[in-house]
Amino acid sequence: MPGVTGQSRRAGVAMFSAIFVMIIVGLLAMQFHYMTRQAQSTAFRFQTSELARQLAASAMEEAFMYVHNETENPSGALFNKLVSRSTEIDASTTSLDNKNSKGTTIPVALTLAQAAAMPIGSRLKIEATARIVDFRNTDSTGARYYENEGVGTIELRVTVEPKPEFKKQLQGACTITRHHDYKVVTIVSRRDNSTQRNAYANGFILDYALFVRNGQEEFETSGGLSLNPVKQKLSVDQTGLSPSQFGKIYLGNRRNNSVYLNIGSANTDFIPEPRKKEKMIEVDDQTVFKLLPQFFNQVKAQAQKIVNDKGASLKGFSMNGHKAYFEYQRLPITDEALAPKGDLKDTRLLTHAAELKYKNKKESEELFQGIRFLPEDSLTDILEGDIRQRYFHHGYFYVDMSSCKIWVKAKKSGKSESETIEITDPALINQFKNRLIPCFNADHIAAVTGGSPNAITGNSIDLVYLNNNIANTNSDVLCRIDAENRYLKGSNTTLAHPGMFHFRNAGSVDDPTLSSVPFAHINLWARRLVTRKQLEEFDIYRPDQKKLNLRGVVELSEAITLGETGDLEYEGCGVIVAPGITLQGGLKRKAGTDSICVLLTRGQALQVNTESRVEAALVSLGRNDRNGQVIAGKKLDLLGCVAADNLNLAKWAEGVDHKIVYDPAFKRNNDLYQVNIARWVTFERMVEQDE
Amino acid sequence: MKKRGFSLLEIIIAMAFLSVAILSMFWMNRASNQGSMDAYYEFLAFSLAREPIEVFRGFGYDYLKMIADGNISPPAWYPVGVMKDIEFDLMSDMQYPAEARLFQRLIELTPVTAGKLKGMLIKVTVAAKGQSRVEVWMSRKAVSLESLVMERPK
Repeated sequence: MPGVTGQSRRAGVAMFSAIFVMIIVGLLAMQFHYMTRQAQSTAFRFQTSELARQLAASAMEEAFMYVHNETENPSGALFNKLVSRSTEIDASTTSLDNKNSKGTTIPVALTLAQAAAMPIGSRLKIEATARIVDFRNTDSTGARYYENEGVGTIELRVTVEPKPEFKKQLQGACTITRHHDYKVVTIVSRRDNSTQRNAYANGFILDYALFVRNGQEEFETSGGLSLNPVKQKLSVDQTGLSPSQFGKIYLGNRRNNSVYLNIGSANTDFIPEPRKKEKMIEVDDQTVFKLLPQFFNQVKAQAQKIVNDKGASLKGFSMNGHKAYFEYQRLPITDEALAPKGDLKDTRLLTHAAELKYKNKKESEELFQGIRFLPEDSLTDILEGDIRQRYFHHGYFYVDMSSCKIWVKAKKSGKSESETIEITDPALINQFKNRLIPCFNADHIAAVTGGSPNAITGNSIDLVYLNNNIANTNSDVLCRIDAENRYLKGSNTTLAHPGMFHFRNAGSVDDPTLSSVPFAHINLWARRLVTRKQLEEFDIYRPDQKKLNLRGVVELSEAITLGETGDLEYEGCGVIVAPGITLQGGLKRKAGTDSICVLLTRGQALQVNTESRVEAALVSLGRNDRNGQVIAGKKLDLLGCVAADNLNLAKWAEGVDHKIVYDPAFKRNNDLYQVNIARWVTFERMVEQDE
Repeated sequence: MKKRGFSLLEIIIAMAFLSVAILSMFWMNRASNQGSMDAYYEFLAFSLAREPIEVFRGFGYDYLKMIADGNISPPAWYPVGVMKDIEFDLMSDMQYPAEARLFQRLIELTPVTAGKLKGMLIKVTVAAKGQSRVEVWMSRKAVSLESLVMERPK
């Protein structure tokens, strides 16, 4: 090209090269700058995301603890939502698509305060929700749990994301979802005292102030001493409670097989009339002679002497002015002051003689009164099963000859008229002055004394004549232990038998020895097989603080002694199950709380070695061997109830008045549940956005 | 033929343009460099702040409470209440990136409560050591991260 030299062409190339290089370098610099901005943005997002994650983790911890704490309170809103599985939070039956529509907000105040203190955190919205995602109300065998009991899964979800006004500036967000299993178990299940249960309930045993599962068997093998101990006294007192609050009393009798309580002087009101003397049959002079052979023989001897002196022959006797009749009265069986008069001065001998009908024993061991149930006017509302009373039916022959005249009829030979001569022998008359001669069944006495019908009464009265001529038409003239009446004051109402269920799920059974044990659904227990040491580590038992913190059912793997450091205070509602429990100190619920404490062994002894007040249910019912027993080594002062396979009062402390006062807290018109949320996380998902 | 060169004015103008362009690129490069290093060190600082939080979360509330109450000492790598240099020791069980030694870290435990809830607030502050290059590069003097560890059922 003309005018363009080679030099100028080179200058142009250099210029273009320089500009090109500049552009390239500029582009690289811009790219580098862009990458740097990206790196900074990433770092910022990382910080935001990490912050969101930490806040979410904090909120999740707080939400869990909030749910855990709130579900400790049976009157709390969240507790009730969880137990009743309210539609607000129950997503267990909804489709997966709709699960998130359920849930209740969980406050996370601490996390919000933490976030508010941070520049970025204050721009984040933090929400926590809880919902039920699964619930099973049957056990592995298909048996349905009681009412709202069951095992479920609660889902906690925490979302941390920028508030709407900061969404363009902040992009970090985090959502954590966790699942915890939980259990719902009844501690006290409602019971209407006017009806029986129609299904197994874990806490059915708390319906009873005193429940003795093998009561019938124990009564029979102990000769009645199990309920009428010699040296122990037990009262079950519910005075002051309304009938709807009464704890029932059941002594383990099968249908149509009664157990008996001896009536002592303190229970005289139980004995049906007549409690005072009731005149029955007046007898004439000739019958008196037949009934009283000794008297007859003495009269006959004196008469014979008189007629012999007169050279006459004996034509007969007669008597007037005497008093002779049969009476009976109903008396306490165990009153030490009973009838220390008459021919049998020893009360125990008297009752023993009457008891021979029932037992072939020389000593009457069972005529003691050990147990009393109060208030006696309400026993129809308290007793279940058939409990009968035993009192002494004292039948006797009363004779008083202090004002009588005895005549002998004599006739001399050759004379047509008989002569009547009075026998005047003060000694003869005085020995039958105001006499009270007990009457017994001659056959019974002969059977146990080796053939002597009058072995008990001597020859004071001819029991054979009595039995064949008087008692054969009126048996009330004879002494006996009366056990025909139910143990009810002023009523003979037939009482209902309790509803018993075989194991935890099957139908009802009549035989109490086959009945199920309480708290049998072990998969509803909060903890299993913990050691004594763990019990302390878990803060359940704090001997140093003298406290028991109860929540749900806790089973120990070893026997435990409670209260060795002194009286304990408990808070919360729960059951401690152990293979042997010894209570060395008192046990009181925390004031102002509705706490419930149940101490339960599976057939091992439950020993109470304190005179301090114990406010708890003491239950010792075996699952297989069924040898459970509650033993009060010292005077028992119990506000609660006792349930055992065997009462075994003979092992209780002697010479003291043991007292059980039923705790009305065990009689509710609604169920008392406990919720135990597992601390273990069964599922967790964390979604971090825009990290 | 006489050669025609650039006038002085042309050269000056060209140099001015060139200077602006080059300076801009230098400035951009420096800013980018600064930003990159800032992001890098902040990332590192945040990671160093997150580490004790995760460890302490694993300890649980009761253990942290004992540390806070002075009943027990925290592990040597996680001193509480003092700003301490992060050691870089090849022989140590606890290994950090080499540049971690350019930082120092403060771990604070503060008990918090809300009703029956008890918790321990863990706050970790990571700052550049004085007169280190991190101090030059990192725009913020320190970063901090917090988290709560709540008392849990046992």
